[in-house]
Amino acid sequence: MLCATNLSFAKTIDIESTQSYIEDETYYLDSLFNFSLTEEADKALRHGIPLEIHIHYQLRLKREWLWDKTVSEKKLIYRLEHRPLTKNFLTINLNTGLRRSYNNLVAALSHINSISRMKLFDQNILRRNKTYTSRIKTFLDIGSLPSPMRPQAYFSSHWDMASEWHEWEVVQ
Amino acid sequence: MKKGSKIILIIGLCLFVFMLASLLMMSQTLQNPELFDRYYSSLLIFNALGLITLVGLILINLKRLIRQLKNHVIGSRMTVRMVMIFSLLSVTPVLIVYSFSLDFLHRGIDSWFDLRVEQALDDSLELSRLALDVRMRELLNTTEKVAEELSETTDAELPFDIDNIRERINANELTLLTKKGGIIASSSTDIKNLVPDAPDETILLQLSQSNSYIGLDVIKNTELLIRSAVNLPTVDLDKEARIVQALYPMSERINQLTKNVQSAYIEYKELSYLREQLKVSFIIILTLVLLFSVFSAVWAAFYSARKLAAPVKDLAEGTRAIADGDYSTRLTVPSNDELGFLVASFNDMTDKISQARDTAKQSQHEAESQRTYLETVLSRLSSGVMVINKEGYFEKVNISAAQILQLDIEAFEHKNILSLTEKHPNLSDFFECISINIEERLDDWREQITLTDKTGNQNLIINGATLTESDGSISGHVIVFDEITALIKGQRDAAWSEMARRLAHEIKNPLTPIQLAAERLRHKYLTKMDPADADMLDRMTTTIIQQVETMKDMVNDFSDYARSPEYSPEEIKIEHLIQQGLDLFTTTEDGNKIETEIEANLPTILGDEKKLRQVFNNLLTNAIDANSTSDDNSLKVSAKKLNVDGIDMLEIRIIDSGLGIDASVTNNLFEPYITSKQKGTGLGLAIVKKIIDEHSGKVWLENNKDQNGACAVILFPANNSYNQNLKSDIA
Repeated sequence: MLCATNLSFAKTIDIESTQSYIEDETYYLDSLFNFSLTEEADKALRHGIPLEIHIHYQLRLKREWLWDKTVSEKKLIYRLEHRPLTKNFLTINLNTGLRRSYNNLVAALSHINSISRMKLFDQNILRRNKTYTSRIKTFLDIGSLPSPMRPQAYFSSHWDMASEWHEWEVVQ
Repeated sequence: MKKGSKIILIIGLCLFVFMLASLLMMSQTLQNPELFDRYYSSLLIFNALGLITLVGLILINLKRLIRQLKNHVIGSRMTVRMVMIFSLLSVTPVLIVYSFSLDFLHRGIDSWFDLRVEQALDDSLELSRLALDVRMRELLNTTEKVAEELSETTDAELPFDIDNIRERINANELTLLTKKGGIIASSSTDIKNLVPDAPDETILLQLSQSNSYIGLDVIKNTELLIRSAVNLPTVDLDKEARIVQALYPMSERINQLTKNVQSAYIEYKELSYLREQLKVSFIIILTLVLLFSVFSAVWAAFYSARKLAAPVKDLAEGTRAIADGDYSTRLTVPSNDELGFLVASFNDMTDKISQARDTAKQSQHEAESQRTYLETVLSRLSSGVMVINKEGYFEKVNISAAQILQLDIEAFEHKNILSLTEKHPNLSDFFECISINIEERLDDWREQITLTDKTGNQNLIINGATLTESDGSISGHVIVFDEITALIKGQRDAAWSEMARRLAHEIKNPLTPIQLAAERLRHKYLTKMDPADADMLDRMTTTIIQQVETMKDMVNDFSDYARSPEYSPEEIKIEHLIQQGLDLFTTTEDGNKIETEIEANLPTILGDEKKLRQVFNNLLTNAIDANSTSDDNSLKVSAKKLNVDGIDMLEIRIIDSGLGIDASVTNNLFEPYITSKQKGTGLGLAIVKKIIDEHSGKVWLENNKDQNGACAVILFPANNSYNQNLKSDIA
């Protein structure tokens, strides 16, 4: 089973496409983001400040009279670092510890922007006759910035790097 | 302290302690980057919330103070002044310290960064790169040679040759790939690593554009490797283009050195980048400390000012209460300091004032009782009592004094002796007597005077004494006087009655034998004598008998005057009595023109009809006798109702047209044996006066103003109550 959506609107940080599918009674996700850094974030990165980019997924049960309930959620966290000696950009998948080195920022961000085969949840957690939605967003974690930067980053638009929630219905 | 204020104080103090601890922790986190990262944000939020709460507390205090100012609450102005002073005193030095601290902060952080250090770090990084470049070029040559070698190797030989080549060139990993990145063959020192580290798309792209790639890389672990990739020379056009990639390890020493250089460079760059943010953070913390200090100081200023002003406010309210006459106010002594002493003194003062007030009240009550007692005594005294101050003004006059002097008691209010003398000339003798004795400064004096008015004489005996102060100075005079007219008159009447009784007794006894003797003489010798002698005897005996009769009448009059009163009181219509009296005289032919003017519906009087008839007979007789001395024989009798001092009186006037009253007898007209007539005993008016007095009336004679003759005026009490009193008195 395949479910794909395409997003056509342009935004600094947005989700270009998502594709979820079932394999061996497990839901997986392929997704393509458009996560680019602001000038301020780029400058910070090149000055040795590591950036943490989160990809946050939630499976939610639709309820008629109450708020939707989060049944399952996953977080994929990438750390992006700059290596001045090699002039490379390093991406570290904090979930797996996998490091990848790129000789330019675009390549590093391309790696982060492209998610392939992300395991979401087992099919058996879904109940019949219930409606579930999936949603995903990506954002820069300001909390991971060095403390002196945080107060300014919380209130500055230069550091407001987050996509909207992208939501789609789960087909059982 | 009120419960609400106590809670606010406790909340404020807790907040102060927590914020202080939080700021201390914040200061600690500045020393420790790990703690700084962990707690900085939460401490910042906590302190911000604490500051907002402090501002809230200050605003509450400010609002309360403004409300108190608007309501003119005592102590509010003082609180405002103290809050301003305290705030100014505490805020000013803090602001100065803040200003200098900011300056030092900027200078201090800027001093961490030096251009030479930065340059040195850049240079060391560049040096590292150069050093690695040499090594990388060597390794690239090696990889190019491997590429040539592999281009000649068949696919079947590859699995064997690739291991040998990797070992020969001391590479960690050697991989043969297609142009698109597909792995053809690979050899690695790590036998557990089944999947070789393939070059990424950018490397593949670069290889498609040029022949080789060389670069430093970190793969899987943190160790630095040199990645070298080269296109294989194309030998067979049918074969797919291939790439060889070799990963060369760096020596441990180089790895360590590059790590050190890189981490130092990164740290410096990061610090350099965070310089402004660090400054902001420090400034935020410093500002938080400043605001905390300022707000705490202002809040403490509010609290202290209110605390200091509270006893003053209590004192002011207590003073106001005392001014309003509430001496029960007791203030709580706030502390053992000077304010406490002041409040304690205030309480002592209030106690003493209260005691003095009670004593004064008691004294006033006693004085009031004494005064009431004295007034009661004075009002019940038959004697007249007057207190005159040293200026001659009347301070106290009792009712009897006013009654004796026939004045209203109000007539003495705010008056002095002189003004009363001018206003009441008939009392001039009385007031002159007092004035003379006061002026002579006699401490104790006694005088007897006689006042004369139209109703007769009034005898007064006056006693005077000087009132002195404790220092001996004169504060006034007390005058006590009694009317002794009745006493004197009584004594005189008694004397006259006794004399009349004795006279009647002594004279009446020989009169009958004289009369009998004269009648016997007349009877025996009148017929025996010659006519001439008989005529003489007749005349003489007739004279003797007539004179004896006259003397008998005179003796009877004396007897009547001396006789004690025998009253049979009854209700009498006075107009009937008058008419009966007039009837006696209208029948005579003496030519008197009698005119009557009697009001209709006159009230009755209570009296003895027989005696009152005698009164009118005597007075009418006198009037007709007076008329006989002049040419005008008119006689007028009037009767009307009067109200004198709220009492109904009956006034009867008998007006003749004779010669009037001789001035020489004016004062003694009603005394016995005072007469201006040739005939008469001189007892007529005395009897009239006696009877009228017995009827509680008044009688006097006065000369007519507009015509000749005199007028006899009689006043009888007429109202029922007075009649009742009279009846009871007579009874």
